[in-house]
Amino acid sequence: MTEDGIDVSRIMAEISADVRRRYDAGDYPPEITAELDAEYAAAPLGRFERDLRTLKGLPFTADIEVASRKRLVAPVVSGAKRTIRGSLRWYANGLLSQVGTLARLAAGALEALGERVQLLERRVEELGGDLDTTKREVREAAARSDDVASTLETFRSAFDRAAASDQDVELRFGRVERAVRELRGLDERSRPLTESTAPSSEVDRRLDYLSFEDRFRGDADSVAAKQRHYVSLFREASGRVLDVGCGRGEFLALLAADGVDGYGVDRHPDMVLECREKGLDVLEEDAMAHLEGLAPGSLGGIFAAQVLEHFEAPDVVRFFDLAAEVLIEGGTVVVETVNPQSLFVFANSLYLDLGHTRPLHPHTLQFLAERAGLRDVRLEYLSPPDDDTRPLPMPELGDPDLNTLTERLDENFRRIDSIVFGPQDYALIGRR
Amino acid sequence: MSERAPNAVLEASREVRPLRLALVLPRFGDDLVGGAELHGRWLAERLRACGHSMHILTTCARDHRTWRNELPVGPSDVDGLRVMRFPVDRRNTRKHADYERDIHQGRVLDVDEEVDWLRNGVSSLAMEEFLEREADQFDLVLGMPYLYGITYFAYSKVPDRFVLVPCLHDEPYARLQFVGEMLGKSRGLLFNTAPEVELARSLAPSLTDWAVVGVGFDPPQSLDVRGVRRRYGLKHPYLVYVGRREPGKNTHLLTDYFLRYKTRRENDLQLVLVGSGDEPPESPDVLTRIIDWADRDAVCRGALAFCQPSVNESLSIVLLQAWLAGSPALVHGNGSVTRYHCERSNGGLWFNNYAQFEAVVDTLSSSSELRGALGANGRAYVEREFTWPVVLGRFHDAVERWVEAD
Repeated sequence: MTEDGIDVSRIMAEISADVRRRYDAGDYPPEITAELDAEYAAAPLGRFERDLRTLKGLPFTADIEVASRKRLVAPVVSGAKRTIRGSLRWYANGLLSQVGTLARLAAGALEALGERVQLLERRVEELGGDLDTTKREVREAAARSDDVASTLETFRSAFDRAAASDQDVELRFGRVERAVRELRGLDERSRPLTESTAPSSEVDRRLDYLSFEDRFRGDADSVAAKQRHYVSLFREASGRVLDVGCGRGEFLALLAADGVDGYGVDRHPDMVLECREKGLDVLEEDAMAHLEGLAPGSLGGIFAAQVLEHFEAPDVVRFFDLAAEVLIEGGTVVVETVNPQSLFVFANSLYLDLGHTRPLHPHTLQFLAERAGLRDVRLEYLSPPDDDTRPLPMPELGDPDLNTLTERLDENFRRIDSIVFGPQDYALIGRR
Repeated sequence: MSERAPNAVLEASREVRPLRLALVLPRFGDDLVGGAELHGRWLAERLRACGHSMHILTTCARDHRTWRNELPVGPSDVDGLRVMRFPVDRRNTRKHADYERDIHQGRVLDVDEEVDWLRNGVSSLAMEEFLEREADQFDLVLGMPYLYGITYFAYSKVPDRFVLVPCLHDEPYARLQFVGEMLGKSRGLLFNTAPEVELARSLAPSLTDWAVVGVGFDPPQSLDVRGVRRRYGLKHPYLVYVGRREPGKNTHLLTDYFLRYKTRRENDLQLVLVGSGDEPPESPDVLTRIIDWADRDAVCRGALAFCQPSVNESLSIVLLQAWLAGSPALVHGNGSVTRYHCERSNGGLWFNNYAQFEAVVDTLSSSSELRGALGANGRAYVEREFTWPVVLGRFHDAVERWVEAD
């Protein structure tokens, strides 16, 4: 039915019913009735009913008329007939009783049959209507299924086009997977904190690290610029270089560009997908679990930038033990982390990241590295705060007394500067 | 009588990859207005306007009864379409007629006999050689309608790139084995309507990949109803039929029912038969008219209803055009496609016998509101399903699939 209320099937059902009523009422002339007889394939029940009424009204009697129309012999003939009728009455009555019973039973049976036929005709008519409705519904369903088939074909064709390029499919799949993970992440982020979970890893899991890094760590180019100088440390690596907590894969990309065979682990699925979309080899795994699973002497190098400050203390200790174990003889480890010797970082990067467990003092890490058996352990301090955030030297005042004062002031500020505005990061570099 | 698809320059509805297409038609020409011929020409014009390279491969024949070679062999340009004409092969018409009789009497022909029947119908070895030699020139070869040797032999030369536009309707020919073969083994099938798909399913064990595409229509240019009433002397209310008058179109039944109607109703309703063909019985109430084709839509619009008594339609272009002009429809209830259109659009009524015809005509005569609503529903249906952007969208969805599968 359309919005204007027109339903042609309903109109046609009404027209057909009207035609049938007029046919039953005998309103049509013979030629139209004959055509409709064929259409309805119905016996003319009117005649049947008339004959049935006649049958039921038939008088079964032995009192057959004995009068004769032949005038001359009428009295003789009538008399003879009367005598025969009288003498056969017992016989005729017996037969008549049987015929009467037969007629009554036959009329009853025919009447019942007539009713059944009418019932069946009505049913056939109803079924005919149902059939029309069903046919229409099937056609409509077929039309809808054509639409569905057509939509499916569109999907199939889009999929086929995508499948033309494996890389394209991989990327599309990655995006879908990421969307799913984001949804799952929403769910996880809404889950209450459990006591058994380490707070830092819970934060890691609940925080959208990809977005966080995009906003606060700087774009991939600026991170790469900061990390580029480490590449030379791994250029001679005699095994694969592992980037622990590889994030968006900036360092792995630098390694790859330099022809160094590197791979990464990160427990953030979004990071992993981002890396894979860049064609980098990255595993979605916990770093410690991964290191523990490696065979001794299986890595050419280990790189872990801005990672260890997320670890719980026992894992920090264990990290160096494992690093020493899985590195090939001569393999290099580089750990870059926030420098707690600079008070500036306490006002900035340290607390910016909710996932940071604790700052790690350079001397602590140096101790742990050496204790684990690493050699040539050294520290490099990096990322001094911008000059425009640091104290300015006093101006030359020309007066020797005042100059002494300003030199003292500068010296004091230098001391404060070295504590407050020390380098924000440092790197520990060692070899197996 | 000549008709051309208006607005031949298509507003591009989407970006499409240009394809090299050939369309095989038994006949092609400006003056041919049969359903399949119009369908083929319109489709070719639109596809060319979409940027596809479009070749028409056809015969030199103009008359579909004699298939006499009347037009010159070789390439020509017809309104910007590249047309290649090939001569029709010699035919044994007697043999062909014998087979025809067998088919109509229900004798089952074996495959060789079917091929013999097709060979003696209309075929062109020259076209087949061309297709065999030049197949690589074309991404796809479209062929229509299903019934002719021209179509079947083109299919048999290039089945992997052959797309059949069958234009099927239920008739003895449709049940021949070669039809099932084409429906099952062509690269693709382009149907006109869902009932045609149903019919095809009943004819072939399995269908190859298919799509319902149909053909598109542009809105009427002009609907000067008063003008056409004056020009063609249509003074009284009228029912209209547009097309050839021939038994295959069931026009005799329409005139018969209408004349019976006139004997039972005292009104001034007339039946206007537009087009040529068999002469109807003499009656002041049955008018035959040859009209300027540009007036067709207005003539339909002015009618009480557009009548389509044919039960052998695979699309019924004239019905869809009449709807686009806003005319309500009156069709034969046994025409599966036309009745399907009516039920789907709520744009027309149907009859299965005279009594229903009478009741439906009475119903339509008595309510201008109903006529208006049916006409509007019909127009909305055609605009929804059969405008060129919609049709070409469906066409491209399908053929891109078949070309990409290479």
